[in-house]
Amino acid sequence: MQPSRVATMIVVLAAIGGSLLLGDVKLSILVGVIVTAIAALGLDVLVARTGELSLAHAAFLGIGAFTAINVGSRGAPWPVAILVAVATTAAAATIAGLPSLRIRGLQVAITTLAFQGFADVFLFTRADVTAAGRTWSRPSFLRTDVRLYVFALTLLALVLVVRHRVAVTKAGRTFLAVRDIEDRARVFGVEPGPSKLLAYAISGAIVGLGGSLFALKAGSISAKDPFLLLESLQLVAILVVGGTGSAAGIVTAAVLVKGVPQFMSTIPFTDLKADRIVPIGSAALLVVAVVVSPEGIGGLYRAAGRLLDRMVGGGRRERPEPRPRVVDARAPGAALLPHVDRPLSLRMPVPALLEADDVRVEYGGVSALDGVSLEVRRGEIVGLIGANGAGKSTFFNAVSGLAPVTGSIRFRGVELVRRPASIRSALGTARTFQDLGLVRAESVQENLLLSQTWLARYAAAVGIVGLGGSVRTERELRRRGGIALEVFGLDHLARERVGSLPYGTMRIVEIAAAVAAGPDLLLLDEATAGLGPEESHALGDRFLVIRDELDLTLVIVEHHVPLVARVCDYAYCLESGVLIAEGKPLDVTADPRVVESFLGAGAASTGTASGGATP
Amino acid sequence: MNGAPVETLLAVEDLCSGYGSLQVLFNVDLDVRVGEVVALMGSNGAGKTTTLRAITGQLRKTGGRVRFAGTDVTRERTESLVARGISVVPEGRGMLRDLTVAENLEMGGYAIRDRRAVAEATDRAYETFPILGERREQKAGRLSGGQQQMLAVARALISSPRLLLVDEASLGLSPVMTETVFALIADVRRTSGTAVLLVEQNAGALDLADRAFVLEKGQVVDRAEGAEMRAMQGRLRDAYLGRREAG
Repeated sequence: MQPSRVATMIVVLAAIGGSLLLGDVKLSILVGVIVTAIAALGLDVLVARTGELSLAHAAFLGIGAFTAINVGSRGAPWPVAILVAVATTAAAATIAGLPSLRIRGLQVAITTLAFQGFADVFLFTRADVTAAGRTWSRPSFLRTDVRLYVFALTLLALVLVVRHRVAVTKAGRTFLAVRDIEDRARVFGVEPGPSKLLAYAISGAIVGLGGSLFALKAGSISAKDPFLLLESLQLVAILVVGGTGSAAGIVTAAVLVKGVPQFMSTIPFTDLKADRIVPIGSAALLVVAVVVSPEGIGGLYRAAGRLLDRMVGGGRRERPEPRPRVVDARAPGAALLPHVDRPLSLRMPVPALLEADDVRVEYGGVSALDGVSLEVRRGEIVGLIGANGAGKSTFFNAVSGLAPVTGSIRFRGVELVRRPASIRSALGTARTFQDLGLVRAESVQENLLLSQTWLARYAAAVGIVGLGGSVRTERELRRRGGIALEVFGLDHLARERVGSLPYGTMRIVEIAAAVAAGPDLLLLDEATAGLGPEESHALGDRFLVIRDELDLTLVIVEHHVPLVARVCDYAYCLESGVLIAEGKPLDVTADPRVVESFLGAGAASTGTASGGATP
Repeated sequence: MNGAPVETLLAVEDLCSGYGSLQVLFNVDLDVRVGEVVALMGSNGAGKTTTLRAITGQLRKTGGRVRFAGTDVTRERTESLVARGISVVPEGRGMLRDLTVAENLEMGGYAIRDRRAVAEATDRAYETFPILGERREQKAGRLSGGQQQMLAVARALISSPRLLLVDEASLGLSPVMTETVFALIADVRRTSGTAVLLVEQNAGALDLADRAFVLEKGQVVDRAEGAEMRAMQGRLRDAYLGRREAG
């Protein structure tokens, strides 16, 4: 085990052990701190994973607390009261999140601000909502402050487990994908809308749990202050001080912002009152934290952990060679990548795997594709060449559902046009993007799981609690991802961050991710960009191998003509959205019009134009 | 060129850099003289982009010195290097996707006071790349990859830099467009005397270059100039760049 982990466990255990020795008053303050920490951790799920900011989380906390009292005071057992509170808060947060389906970022933050305002003025002023005059008496096993404190710690631990589960299952992965690559995530089978709402729901559920704890502690609530706008802003401040994404940092920040001022006010002979200190103290902390450590307290913890590991663990981290390994041309792993069952069998007698008929794409009056008809037969590698801006990537967008198409695109005989992009991976297409459709901030392995989203056939919310076969499915996806990496000689890079890899390697990671999704048709947009001749050549070999071993059909957009000539069975050349030549690769590259628009005069004289080794 | 100190525009000595605890560059030495084109060759992952980022201050240097036009700029920030006359065409193009083509070009002249010079440079850019002229009101994010590469080169030239650092200009360009960009770079040097450091995997860059350095695993392993360049092309092809693609 890493020294930093051991140190973390010792510190956490010592803090918990030490805190248990405190008096009742202080324990009660700590329960309040835990409420705030839980609310902040819930907010962080939203902020860190989806990039959206909510200014209504104090209102959600209030909805949770009031619901718990309303239900609990009417005689419902305490677990029922908590569950109802959690569900109600999740629903409220989901409703507040609806605008995020249409708008992003700051605009969403403002609509949540409106929700907070609505709650302040209309919800929390109503006696029936706020359970005025009602009291929820604690269950007998929570009567003492120590017990309530231990219970609060248990809930906090539960929240940390939920956050971890979100991170390692489909839910968290798709949140990040929607945040970073937006529409492109749909080619993996991600549906951005439901994914965003789920993030709001999870965030709300966690805050609802915090609200329930608040209600348990208070019994009845008369002051609305903890649920008003100022408190929402303070939760945001806690995230900034603690560092988004860092649970340890956020909990520490909650202690500093909420706990320390209150502890000070319990010290005799000090005239400092909590209500004065909290705003000033947190404002000061905010400024200091942002200046000293832009990543917050969590950033400091991580730096300390790395330092400790280096001192105790000895030496620097060995990073593997950041390039693909040369692997055996026959790719032993490839045969082990299990074929994916689909509703439509490939044995269906279709003449061509992909048939495009009079495909047109227009962007704001400019015609990007102007009546393109072509076909790709099963088992072929088809080259798509053409000048920059000829419409090659647009054609890929048309096939993968990311461009507005008129005309017909049939894949295995099924009409694709007007089917959502997010189901095309399930039909059997996968693609790469010219400028990378991966989440750069995440590891290679995470991205290979993301690309298989359509294969993760458990409901994202169910996966968080580990049901619905999610554990087994995740294990299988990991295995598939590992095999796909081996095929491309990338297995040693599984844990590296995609963004830290050389450009050409990132591109190969993206191809491996596409292959892991188990497609029948693979569309590769400039796969060899960023690769030198040797690596390009090796990648060409790899295309032939995956075609044969994985029964794949490939369409490659490629500027590297020798590669097209070597691996392609057939080639098409586009210019200004129109096909100008098709046929055997060598015939196409010899066509005078292709020479003029794509290869250039210098290339024609030597006959071997390329983006590579030709001197 | 006799190698006198004034002739050296950019001098990089013993440059070390990396990411976090990971060292990527090991004592890299290279130089660019006034008005020449230098190619920095190397395969995917050799440290080419890292070298550029370290020179321009986007990445922390852990050792070594960088001098520009005789001044030590080792500790200088990216912005002030731009003001001194270094312009960068970044890998991946660095487009401002939501701005139009015209606005992107304008950004390239952001630090330049002389509005007329900027306007002239902009006209020249449209002349060189007619398609950018046609699409000047289109958002850069809507351009095809190749057009974005053109825009990135055009934008870097707007400030009339003394030294142009180009990170894989040929990336994602069709052969004919690669030739066009290389020809443009040769032209820039001829007409304005701008020195160019071309970071490339494309051996076509050697045709254009006066001198070349080859980077491998973060170290300079080969260098050539003048008559030696031919020999280097052969070496690159045979030993380093590997077998030649069969036609």
